[in-house]
Amino acid sequence: MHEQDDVTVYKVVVNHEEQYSIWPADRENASGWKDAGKQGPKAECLDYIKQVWTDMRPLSLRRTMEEQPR
Amino acid sequence: MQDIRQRIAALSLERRLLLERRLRNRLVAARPDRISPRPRSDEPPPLSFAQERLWFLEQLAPGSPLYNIPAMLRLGSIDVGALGHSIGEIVRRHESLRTTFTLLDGKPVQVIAPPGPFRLEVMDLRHLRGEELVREAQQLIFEEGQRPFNLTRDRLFRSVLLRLGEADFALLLTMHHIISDGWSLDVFFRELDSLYSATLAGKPSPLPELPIQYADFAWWQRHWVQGGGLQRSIAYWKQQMQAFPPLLQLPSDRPRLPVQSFRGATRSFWLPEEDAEAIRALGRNEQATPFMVLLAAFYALLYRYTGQEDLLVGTPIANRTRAELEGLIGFFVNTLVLRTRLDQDPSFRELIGRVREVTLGAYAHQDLPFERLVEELQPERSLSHNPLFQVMFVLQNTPSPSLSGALAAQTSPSGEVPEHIGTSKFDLTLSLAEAKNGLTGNIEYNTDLFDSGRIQRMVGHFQVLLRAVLANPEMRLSRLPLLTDAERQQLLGERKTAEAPAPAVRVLHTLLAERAAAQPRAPAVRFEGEQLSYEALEGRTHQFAHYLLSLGLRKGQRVGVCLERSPDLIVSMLGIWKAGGVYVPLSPEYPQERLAFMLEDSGARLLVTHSGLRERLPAHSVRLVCMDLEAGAVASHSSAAPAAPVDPDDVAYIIYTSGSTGTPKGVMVPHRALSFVERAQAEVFGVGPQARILQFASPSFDASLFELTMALGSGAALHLARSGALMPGPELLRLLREESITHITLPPSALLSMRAEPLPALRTLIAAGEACPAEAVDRWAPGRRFFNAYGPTEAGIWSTLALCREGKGPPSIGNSLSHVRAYVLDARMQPVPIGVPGELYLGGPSLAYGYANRPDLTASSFVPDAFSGQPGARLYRTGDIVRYRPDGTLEFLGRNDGQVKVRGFRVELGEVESVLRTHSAVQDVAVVVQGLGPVESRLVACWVARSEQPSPSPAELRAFLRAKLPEHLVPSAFIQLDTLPITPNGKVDRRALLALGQALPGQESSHMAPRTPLESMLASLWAELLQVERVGVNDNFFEIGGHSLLATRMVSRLREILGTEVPLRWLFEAPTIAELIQRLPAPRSESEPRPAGSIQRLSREAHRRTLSTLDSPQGPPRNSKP
Repeated sequence: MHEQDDVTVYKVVVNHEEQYSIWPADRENASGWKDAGKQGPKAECLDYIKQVWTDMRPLSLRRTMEEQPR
Repeated sequence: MQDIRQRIAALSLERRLLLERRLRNRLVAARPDRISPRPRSDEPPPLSFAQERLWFLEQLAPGSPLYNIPAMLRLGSIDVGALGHSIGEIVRRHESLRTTFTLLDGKPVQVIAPPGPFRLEVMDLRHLRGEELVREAQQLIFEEGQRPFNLTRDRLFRSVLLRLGEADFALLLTMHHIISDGWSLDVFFRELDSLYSATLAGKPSPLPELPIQYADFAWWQRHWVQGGGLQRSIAYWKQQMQAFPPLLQLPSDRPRLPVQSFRGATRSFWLPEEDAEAIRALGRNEQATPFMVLLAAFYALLYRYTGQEDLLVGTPIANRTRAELEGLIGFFVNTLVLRTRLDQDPSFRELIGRVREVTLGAYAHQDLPFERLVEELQPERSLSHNPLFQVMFVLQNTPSPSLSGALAAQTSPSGEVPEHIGTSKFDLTLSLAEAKNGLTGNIEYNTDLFDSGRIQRMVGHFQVLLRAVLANPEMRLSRLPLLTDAERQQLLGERKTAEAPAPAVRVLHTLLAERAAAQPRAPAVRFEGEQLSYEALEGRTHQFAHYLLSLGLRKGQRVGVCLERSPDLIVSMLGIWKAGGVYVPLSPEYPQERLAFMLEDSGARLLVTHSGLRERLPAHSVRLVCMDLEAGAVASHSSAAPAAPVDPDDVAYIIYTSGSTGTPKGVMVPHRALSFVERAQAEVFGVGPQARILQFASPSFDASLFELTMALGSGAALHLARSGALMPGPELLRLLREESITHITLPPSALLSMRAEPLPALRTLIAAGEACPAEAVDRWAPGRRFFNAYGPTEAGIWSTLALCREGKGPPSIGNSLSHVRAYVLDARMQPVPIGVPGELYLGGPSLAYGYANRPDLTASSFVPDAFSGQPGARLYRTGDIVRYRPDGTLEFLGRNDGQVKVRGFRVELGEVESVLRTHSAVQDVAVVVQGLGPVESRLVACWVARSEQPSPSPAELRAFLRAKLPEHLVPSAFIQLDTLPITPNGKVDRRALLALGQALPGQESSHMAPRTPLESMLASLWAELLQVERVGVNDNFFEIGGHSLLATRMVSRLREILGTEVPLRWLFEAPTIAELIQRLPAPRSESEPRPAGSIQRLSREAHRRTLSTLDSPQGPPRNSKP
């Protein structure tokens, strides 16, 4: 489709489950998502996410797991 | 003379616009190089370039009304005699109305009949009344407009006067476009008005004699062009059209026919005066004409429909830029190709600026006949679409002819608009016309491609888009809205139900407990005569769970399972869940390297297997659980449920799928997803405890979980078998028969590889895993319910479903399940309209959490959901290209990346490539999928060797890959190349590679000499016409310098020589000598003389030509096309 060479500037966004994603920088965030403080080309944003997001499980699940060690 | 472009560029914008308007409409004063009458001679005048093109098209499709120009004038009380006299005078004045065409020495020429008496045909319908009259009149009007002309035999202008009442007439005029155009109609009506007034008044004709005739123009044009008169324009257009884009791929309802039929229909619409005013105002602000503003909006629409950023649109231009041409009737109108680039996502305001430059440049070089441009550019010939452009844009800003004389008084307002004659010259033509209170719009479209519903929606999208840019011209094209309110509601709002809070979900193994209590003795799992009842399965599962816990398994920890299909596989899976663990299937078929990666990546603490499979496992440090060896230890544990609470949010399994970077990626899916699948299965498949469900899918794919939930959720029996018994073919058919399987889920390729047998027990068949062709449905749907199911692992196994019936063509993937949200979005994540392809995005509670240890990949694949209104919700971008059908079902169209399905397996081409690149002798590689359809498709690796290394054989490369990749990722062919072909924008040219793969079996030599007398005759005829030294029987006429006019000439020569009819279209359909010869009538016998004179003459000419080229010091001309 349109996606030959992505020149879009993205920003890193995060939701209440601490799930990260990217979103075009010039667009309003989808409901429930907030800026994580990083903006740039796609690859840069994804590199940033690699640094900050270490557990792919949603926050609520991580918490439950921590609460019930067995 | 100063370069006209420089002169235009030097003008102020206002002056340029003024110039543009004058160029478009009336023109300009007489030029110094005035066209004068042609010298008197016996030679018949040639055709103009435009006429030649139409003449050629007529040879392609003789007897079509496509180029009829019908017009009607409704009149009141008139003098029939005076009207006839006036028309007769117009015919006398204009040679065009007396011109026919014929072939002379293989070239078309004009034949102008001398002026003669003219009688106006009158049809009296006064005996008819009311509806009968209307019907008859409409029929006559329609037939008159439709009746084709024969360019050689018929006068190409017809007139009929229908008498509908005492003072009610309809004058029907029909001209062939080859002698007329829209402007000519204006000329005709103006002259008719003056002449009729004069005749009534008893005065002589007030019209001055014409300075020149059309044939003078045609003669002049030929000589002017030969004298280099067009060089400047040719240079401009060649520059303008450099590397022009191929076909405009508008989304259509049906694929293009190999030969365009020109069947068409129209749909009208209307833009109110406030829109028209806003268009004019925006134009004034942007120093652009309404034409430019509207064309820019049309470009924006095409861009949003196709995603193509380099667009070609045709537009007619009156082309009467010389005063001496203004009063002529004849075919002058030219077609300009307007090429506009929409890259860099411009704002609409910016786009207007680009369109303005393109349009002004085109107007300044409008004298190059379109047909000459086609010859210059030599686009790939096809009968399936128009050359260079496929859509046309027209703005009529000159209102229809204003009559002022005696005729005007009698013109009734019911309009001179002709009936539409059911044709479409292009894929689509958008025409707008300035009217009294707004703009009237009309879309003429090819009905082979488009349905009326699609065009109706397109009209809606054009209006939505246009109003948005009029309100805010700063909007970027990618952000322009298209959907009407109704469509938005339908596409985005209909999934409201998915937002309702999901009812409490239960994890799968608690359902098992319920079943075990309700139907303890019922068979749960069957395998080679062995059977486990629900009670027994439950008990063994609990023992195994306790055993895992005793080995130290903790909640959320991953357990690898490397087992063949067997009851132990089911027990281990369920046992892991009961113990709170995460199931990670590891196929024993996989190479050790891949298994090692999966074990490491998943962080598995335990690995469940059988002793017989141990040697297949890679070196590892995890605790191995051999179910056969440790059966005794397992059995010593309690068969009561373990106290390990499992929550729907817990991760149930990690399944590895092909990853484009060369390593597989582990999709983490919560228990919730299985619960939703189970619930949806219960809703649609009607499985009961009596059902027998085959476990066909490999345990390493999530389709196996689909089969498991279907059985356990409903208390049915899951039938397992060894892989040998599951081979699609006689083995699988036997299994289905002997075990009386009632429900099966198969990839369509498996369905297609088996003959349909009456399998009375098999009531429900689900096709899944890859695109389902119609043939699979047609073969297997009779006698049972046939479903087409779709769903990526990342969205929780299963997302959409269609019930399919035979004979309905390619099945859709249906509607999304009730818990699934589905959106079809463009590259900027905006909804696309019904019928327009976009990427499928899936949302809802059963989405996977992401890819284990791959935050970057997870973040780019799971994106914020801007549509559901649920805070923080995500959508999975499937990479699948789909579109909504008008009935609201989704149609799968393909992939938008390198991921493909080969024989039902999901394959990332990039993964195969990156592994192959790690071979020390491989410098570069590209893998393509060859062959259509799930059965025929295969992977072909095209690779380039490192020069310093000895080249490995295909067998060596295959062995190398087999050690690292599962079998379905290993290409079936390897082609070694010197370099990989590259497209102009620097990417690997996959299309060229595909062609290469197809040529693989037998490389043909480039030149093949003629083998029979007939082939030799054709070869020398072609060589002569194309002025090339030799022609091989496999050379494509159009690739070695042939073009449409040479084609006509060749065919007419062939007709002469063979004495039989040779339709021109044969040459397009069979453009090589070898192919063409198949169509020619077989000579009665090789020895029998054919019309000897022709052949002799031909060979003499060919001989002479050969001599002359040998004589020339530069050697033979290569390809003589300028």
